[in-house]
Amino acid sequence: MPDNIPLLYYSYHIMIGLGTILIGVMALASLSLWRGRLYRARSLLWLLMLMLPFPYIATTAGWITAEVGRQPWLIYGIMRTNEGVSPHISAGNALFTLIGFMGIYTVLGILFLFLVRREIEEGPEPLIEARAAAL
Amino acid sequence: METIWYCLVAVMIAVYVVLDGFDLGAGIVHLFVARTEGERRAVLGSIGPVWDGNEVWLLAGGGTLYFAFPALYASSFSGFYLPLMIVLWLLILRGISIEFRNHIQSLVWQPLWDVVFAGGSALLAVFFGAALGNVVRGVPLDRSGEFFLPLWTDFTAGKDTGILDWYTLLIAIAALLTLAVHGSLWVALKTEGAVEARACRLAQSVWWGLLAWVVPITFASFRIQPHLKQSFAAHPWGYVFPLLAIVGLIGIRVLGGVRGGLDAFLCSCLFILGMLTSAVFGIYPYVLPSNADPSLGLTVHNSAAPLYGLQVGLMWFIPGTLLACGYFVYTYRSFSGKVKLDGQGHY
Repeated sequence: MPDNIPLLYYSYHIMIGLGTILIGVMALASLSLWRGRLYRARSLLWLLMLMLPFPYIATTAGWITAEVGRQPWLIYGIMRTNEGVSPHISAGNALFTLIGFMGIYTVLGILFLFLVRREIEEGPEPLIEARAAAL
Repeated sequence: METIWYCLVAVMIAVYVVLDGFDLGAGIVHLFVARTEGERRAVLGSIGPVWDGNEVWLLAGGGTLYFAFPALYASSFSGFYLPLMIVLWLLILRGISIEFRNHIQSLVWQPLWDVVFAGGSALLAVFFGAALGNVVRGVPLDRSGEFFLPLWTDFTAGKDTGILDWYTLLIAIAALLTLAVHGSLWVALKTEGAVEARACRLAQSVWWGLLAWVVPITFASFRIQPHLKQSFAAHPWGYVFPLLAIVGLIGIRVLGGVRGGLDAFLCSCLFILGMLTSAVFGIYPYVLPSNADPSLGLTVHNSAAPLYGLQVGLMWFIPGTLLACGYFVYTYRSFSGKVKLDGQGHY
């Protein structure tokens, strides 16, 4: 049995819940696009924009579900997590690489947000505006 | 069957070194051969469509190692924990520098990523060279086939050695020089004008350094790993591998002098293949020798997966590799010819 049931429960339900919402919104937006109304449907466009963080949260929750849910097994029924630990790697070395990864991902995350913000500030390309106007 | 898989893993790693070698090499020489923004984009454009595909061979090589020699995989991935993590960081930084640099046109942004790209590429060459040095020299394996190496200790290559010592540093610099030549020849092949001329000149001048370096690393390798001498003495046909390397090395000079085209680049591939196959032939049947007690070394026999698994794996390996090769040919054909300096394209 996994030892952290609440974390598993919530991460699983967040993943499934957000996934269902995303599928629903996608279906709605596809329908609207097919009918040629998407670019004028203000509320739906707002909804789509507000959906932006959800895929990230859903994939993270899914990852947590997979990792927590398979404990205490590395390979279910064959190999336990504590049998897979490298015997010669000290905690200090593991901490060093953990800090390294956190550092790199923090820098990458900041750069990503910075580039996304620039992209948003520049606004959509004129082609898309023209197409939207034509519809 | 173990020997077949030993050869297959060796081939996968060799293909990786030849392929990713030229884009790492292009990174090493990036700042020297390309000065203006347009020239730098041409160098990046020359490796742009293929560099990430080339790196998949590293992944595939690691996967094959995991499958065929699980004991070796378990031992070496925890023993080389620190350098592997550093290699991973370098691969990340180098990859994103290629993708990030063109998002902002500025006097700071692009030169910054160019430096990250070049520095990451050079350090990767150094680390891969050091890795090869460690495999040839051997590591302090214990009875359970485990070990752990710090990044460096006293550089004496004795029993308490680290990843970096005088021998592995020699090999690391050899790798840096080899890939610098290899990358220059690739850039010369794929670009035109001033970049091509500079890359040709650079390849020719680094070549002298490489020539001067090959002699000491050959002697040092035979001294540090006595098993090499036994291998070549027991199977004299193995001399064909170092011979290939020599032919390749001379070919770079002779054919590169005529014109920095495909011939010189292929000779560089031959040189790398010759050097790697010599090392692989020399340490067989070891996959990871011990530097303290030879009987503790990991060999193809004591680290291979069970026979049934190896047989089934071979049946899947052949169609999978054929598929990968087909795609490889398709990609390189699609992007054949020189990169144009017209400012178009993704990079």
